[in-house]
Amino acid sequence: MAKDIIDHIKPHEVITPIGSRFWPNFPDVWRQRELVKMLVQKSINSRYHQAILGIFWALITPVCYMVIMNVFFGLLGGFKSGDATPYSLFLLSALVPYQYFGKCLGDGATSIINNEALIGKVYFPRLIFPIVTTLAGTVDFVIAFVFFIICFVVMQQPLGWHMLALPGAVLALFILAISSSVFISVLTVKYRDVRYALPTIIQLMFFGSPIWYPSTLMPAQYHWVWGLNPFAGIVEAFRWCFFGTETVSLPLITSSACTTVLLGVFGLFYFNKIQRQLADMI
Amino acid sequence: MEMVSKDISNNDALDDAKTGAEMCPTADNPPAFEEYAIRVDGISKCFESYGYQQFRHVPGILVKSVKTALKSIKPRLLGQFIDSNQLKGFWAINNVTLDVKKGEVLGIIGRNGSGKTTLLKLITKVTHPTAGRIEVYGRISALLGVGTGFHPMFTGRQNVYLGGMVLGLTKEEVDERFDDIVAFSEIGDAIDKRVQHYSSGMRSRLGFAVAVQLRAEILLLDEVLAVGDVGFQRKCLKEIINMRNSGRTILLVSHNTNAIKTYCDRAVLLEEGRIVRDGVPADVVSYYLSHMFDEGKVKSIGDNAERMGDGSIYIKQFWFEDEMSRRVSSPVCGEVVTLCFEYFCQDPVNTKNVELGVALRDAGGRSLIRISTEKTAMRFESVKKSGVIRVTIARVPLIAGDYSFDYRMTADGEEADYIVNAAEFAVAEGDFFGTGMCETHSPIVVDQTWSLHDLRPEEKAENVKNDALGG
Repeated sequence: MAKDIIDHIKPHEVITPIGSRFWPNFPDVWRQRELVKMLVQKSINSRYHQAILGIFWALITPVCYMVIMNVFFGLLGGFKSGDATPYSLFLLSALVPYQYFGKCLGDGATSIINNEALIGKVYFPRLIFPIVTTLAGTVDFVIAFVFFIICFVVMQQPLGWHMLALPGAVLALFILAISSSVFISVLTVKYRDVRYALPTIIQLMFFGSPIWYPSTLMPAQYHWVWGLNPFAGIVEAFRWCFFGTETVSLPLITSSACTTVLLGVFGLFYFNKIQRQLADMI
Repeated sequence: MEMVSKDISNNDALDDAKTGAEMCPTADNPPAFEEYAIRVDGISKCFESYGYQQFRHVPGILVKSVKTALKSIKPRLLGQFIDSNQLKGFWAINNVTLDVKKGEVLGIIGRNGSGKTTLLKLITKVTHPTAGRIEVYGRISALLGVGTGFHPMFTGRQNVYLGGMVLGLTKEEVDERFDDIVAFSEIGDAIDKRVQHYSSGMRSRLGFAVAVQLRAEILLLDEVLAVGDVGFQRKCLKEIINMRNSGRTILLVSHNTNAIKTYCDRAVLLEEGRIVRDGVPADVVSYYLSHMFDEGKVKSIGDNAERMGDGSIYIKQFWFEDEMSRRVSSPVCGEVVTLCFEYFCQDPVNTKNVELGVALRDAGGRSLIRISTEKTAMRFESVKKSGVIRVTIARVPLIAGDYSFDYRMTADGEEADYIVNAAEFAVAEGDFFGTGMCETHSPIVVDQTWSLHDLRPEEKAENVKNDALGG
């Protein structure tokens, strides 16, 4: 009886200045999962709206990059994979995650700004916006990644036990993508400069990660510092899963994993701090 | 974190329960606390200025950028931190405490910028409070302005689902209500068009339909009556009554004080972020109308216009007075207004037969109404050195909007003071017909009496004759 009354009188919602002190309210986000689903669907449908090739663009872009780089870096520049792996496949194994990561960063940066019409007028957990862009980007990634695996099989590459670690690498990539999206989405609102700096950052990521060169190009004693670029270690992990490179750099991978976790934690913390002011800043 | 906050709220609720029980026998007899829909406790909101400056030229941008960068870096380098108390901000809501009972229709009135919308935004969690606490008992559906909560790039259909899901409904629950929403909004096939391409009328219709038909326990409506045509206004008001009858709690923000008087159980008046009046709507509204327009009532004449005439007598100032001879900033549609012209006469002895004519124009410059001493066969044979000329209009026949007037003053037929576009003024929305509805289609409103009859015998005969002739 008493419990009934308490249930009845419990406020549906309590609003205080403090709100959630450290983390965004995750149960709130989970409660809105249907909304996330709808927004992701909508985002995918509208992305290739009125594009003849549609979702195939998810394949075309990395393949084009692969061909161009094969010509300039491989044939003209003389870069090699560092082992028996064909250079084209070597490139594609990194380009597919790179495309995904770059896209998530770019879409994540505008995820909140593009929705100002909603943010000033209705409330739902703001964390939804970067989550939606990341999930929508993941669909493209899955398509490109399946294509890569088909290429891998068609080119009769040896399958090793390293493959078992692949889900781990994909998960790490996803975590990196979503944490950077979360972080950069609010950072862009606070400092509009980010929008202009971002293309350069993504470009730097391309040169600063072992995408078109093997990680052995960098002296091994600096690999743990290199891991401050979280994407470098993830590329290395992908390579290791597929090609079982003997020269795998564990310091690079562990260091990158740490950076990713730190980025994720700090990103959420910062997001929570900024999200209270979002409606006032936009 | 979630768990902790829930525990706190539970304890508070229990504490409230005790105090509530103790207070019950008092004269005020407050309702049992579970009957509250919204409890706002000492809420404040300070908008910090985030310093967006406008720059006129590129070097300015560069200099300013470097300056602001240095400014923000310097204290950090020196280890100084900005004290949040020093932040210069704008207190949009200042220590507001407000309990809304379940099933109550609460009107919120106040001037522009008094914090009405901010209060609703705080309750809906759109903005975050600076201090205080709000408890909400039930789901809130809010319509903050025209067609809001709509994503312009989504179709009407997608926006309906979006609205439902924001409210915490499942897709199936929205499915159930979808047809009602479309029917209520009268939007038809356009529901599958992007909201971007909707007219403002369509947006407001769909917005209201979503807010109402999703059947949340609490409904916040901000200026929904200010848009749409008469038919839609009527529909909205009817729906507000329906919802009130079904026991829903409604917070209604409106400048339409008549709607507040007619449909609300209680009203609060906000001024500079504070509640200054709380009580019976009629009292709060009359307080608002008589006290809120203290400033800007007296209009100086001809600031931006050229005066013509010999200036032997001229108008110094101008203001409006209401029925009770109180100065008001704007006439209200359908109510008594007196136009007061304070004149100054250079030579009272030789100034005779003063006449005044005024033409009221709409915002587009169209002359709508002329009032003059000439046509009413009036003239002021002798005047003093200074004084006031008053003209009273029994029922203001203009709809809410912006207007201006010209006037021409003559003495003994000689032009003394003539100004085109002498001053601008606004007419406030009013309940001309006493029905709570406002004419919006034509600028002039007139008294009218409608009736239905049978033909009188002589009319019948006449008509038969006419038919015969025509046939």
